[in-house]
Amino acid sequence: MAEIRLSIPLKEKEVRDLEIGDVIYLDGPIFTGRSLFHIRAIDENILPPVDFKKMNIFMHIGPVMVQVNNEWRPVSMAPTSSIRFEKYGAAVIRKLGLKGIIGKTTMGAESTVAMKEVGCVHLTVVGVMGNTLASQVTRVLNVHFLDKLGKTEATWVMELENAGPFIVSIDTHGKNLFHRVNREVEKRFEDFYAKYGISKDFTYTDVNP
Amino acid sequence: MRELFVTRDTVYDMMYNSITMAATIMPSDVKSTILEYLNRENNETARLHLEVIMRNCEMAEKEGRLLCPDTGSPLYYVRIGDNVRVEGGFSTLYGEAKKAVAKATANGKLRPNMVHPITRENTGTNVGYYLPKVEVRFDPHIDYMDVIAVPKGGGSEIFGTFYRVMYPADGKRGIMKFVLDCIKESTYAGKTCPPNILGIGIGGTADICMKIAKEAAVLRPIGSRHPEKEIADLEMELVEMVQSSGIGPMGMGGMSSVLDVHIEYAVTHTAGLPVGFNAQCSLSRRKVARITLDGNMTYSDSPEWEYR
Repeated sequence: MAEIRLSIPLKEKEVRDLEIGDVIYLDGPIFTGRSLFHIRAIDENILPPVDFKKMNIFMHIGPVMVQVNNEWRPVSMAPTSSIRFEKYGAAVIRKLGLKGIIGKTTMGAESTVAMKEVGCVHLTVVGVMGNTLASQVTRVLNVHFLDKLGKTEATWVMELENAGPFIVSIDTHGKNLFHRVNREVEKRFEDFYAKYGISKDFTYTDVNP
Repeated sequence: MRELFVTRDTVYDMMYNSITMAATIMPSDVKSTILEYLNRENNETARLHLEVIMRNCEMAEKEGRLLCPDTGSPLYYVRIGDNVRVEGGFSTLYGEAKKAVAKATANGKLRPNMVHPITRENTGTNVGYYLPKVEVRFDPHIDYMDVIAVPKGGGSEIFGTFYRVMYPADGKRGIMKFVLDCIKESTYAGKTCPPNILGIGIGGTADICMKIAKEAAVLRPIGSRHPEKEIADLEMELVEMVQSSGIGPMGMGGMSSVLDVHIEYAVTHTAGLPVGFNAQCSLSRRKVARITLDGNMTYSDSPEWEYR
C-alpha cells in the first residue's frame, strides 16, 4: 500500500501515475453533490458557480452541517455510494473535466471509460470516516442551492487539510480494486453453493412457463 | 399488577434520548466484536478500515459527534406491558416520536434524509407520511415500557433489502440460493458497509417475512441465537461461511466479513415459500430506553424484541 499526499487541483500526470489500492491523502478545496447534482447537471444543465479547473475533485457526500455564529461547520461527513450515480457518471466526468471523485463503493463500466479518457480516478472510503473527515475540513468556503435542495443535497465547497485516508478504487488504466477482490470472493462462493447442492443451472419454480 | 403511568414528557425524553444516543454511541456488543476482529485481522487494508471505524466511534462518544453522518430512516419499536398507561392515550407515542425526531434533526443529531419519493423534496425534519415508524407491541409478560430507537442507514437498507416468493418445491436449496445471492450482491464494493448483521426472514406473508428479516437484523444483538437448534445451527454455519468468504470490511478483502447472521421464521401458507433479507451495517445502531415501575429510566443495547 503506497501512501500518497496530493494537492488540489490535481495534475493529469500525477493522476495517471496512481494505481488501484494506493492510499491517498488530500489538501485543498473540493465541492460536493449527490443524486440531484447529477440529474440537474446533465438533464437541466444547471451547475453551481464553481471553478472546476481549480476544484477538480468532486465528493459524493451529504454532510451534516450546523451553523454557529453565521459560519457553517460539518458535524460529521462521510462519502455516499458513487455507484448510485452511474447513469450520469461518465457525462459528469467529461462535462466537468474531473480529475478525481471521492465516494463510497465504486463506479461502473461507462464511468471507468470516461476516467481513462479524461484522466480521473475514483477514491473510495476507508471504514466509517465521518468524524475524522469532518475534522479535516479547515473551512467551509461556500454553499450553493441550499434553499432549493436542502442541506443534504446542496453543493458545499470546503477546504481540506491532509484529508483521508482514501483508497484508489478505479485508476486511469481501467482497473477496479473491487473486481480484484471479487474474483476471490466468487471462488469461495462457488464452494458455498456446492455445499447446499445448488448447481449452476439451478432455477426457481417458474409459475409463468 | 401495579399501574405504570408514563407522562407525555417522559415519552418525549425516551424518544429523543434513545435516537440521539443510538446515533452517537456504538452498542457494546458491536464495539467488542469489532475490537475482537481488529485483534485477529491480518489483512492490512482490512485493519485500516477497522481502525478508522473505531477512531470515529471514539470521536462520536467523546465529542458528541455522530457515529455516521447517514443517520438513516428513523425507526422506533415500542414494547409495552399491560399495566402501562400513557398520558393522552397510546397515540401520544406517535406524536412524541415526530416531535423528538424533528428536534433531533434541528439539533444536528440526525441528518435531514427524508424526502418526497417523487418530487424528491426534503421535508427538512425527517418527519412525513409513515415516518418516523412507530411499531407498537403489547407484551403481557413485562411491567415496564421500552422505546427502542434504530436510525437505519441508507446503505444497508437500500442495497441490502431483498424479497422473493418461491414455492415448496424450491425447498431449502432455494432458500440458500436466495440467501447466498443476497449476501454476494449486497456486500459487493462495500455497498451495505460490511461487516454486517444479516437478517433472514422465512415464511409468513410478504409483510411479515420482511418485518422479521428486518427485526432480526436491527434488533437482535450479536451472539443471540434462535431458540430452535436447527435454526441456530444454520445461523452459526452461515457466520462461519461468510467470515471465510474474503469479503472483508467495506468489501475490500479480509477475514472480518460479517458480525452475525440472524434467522427468524413464521408459519406460512402451504402453497408458498416467501423469503426476505435485510442487512444492518457495521455500526448496527440501536438504543433501548426503559421506564420501570419505580419511575427510573435506564438505557441498554439489548432490545429483547422477539416474539415467536
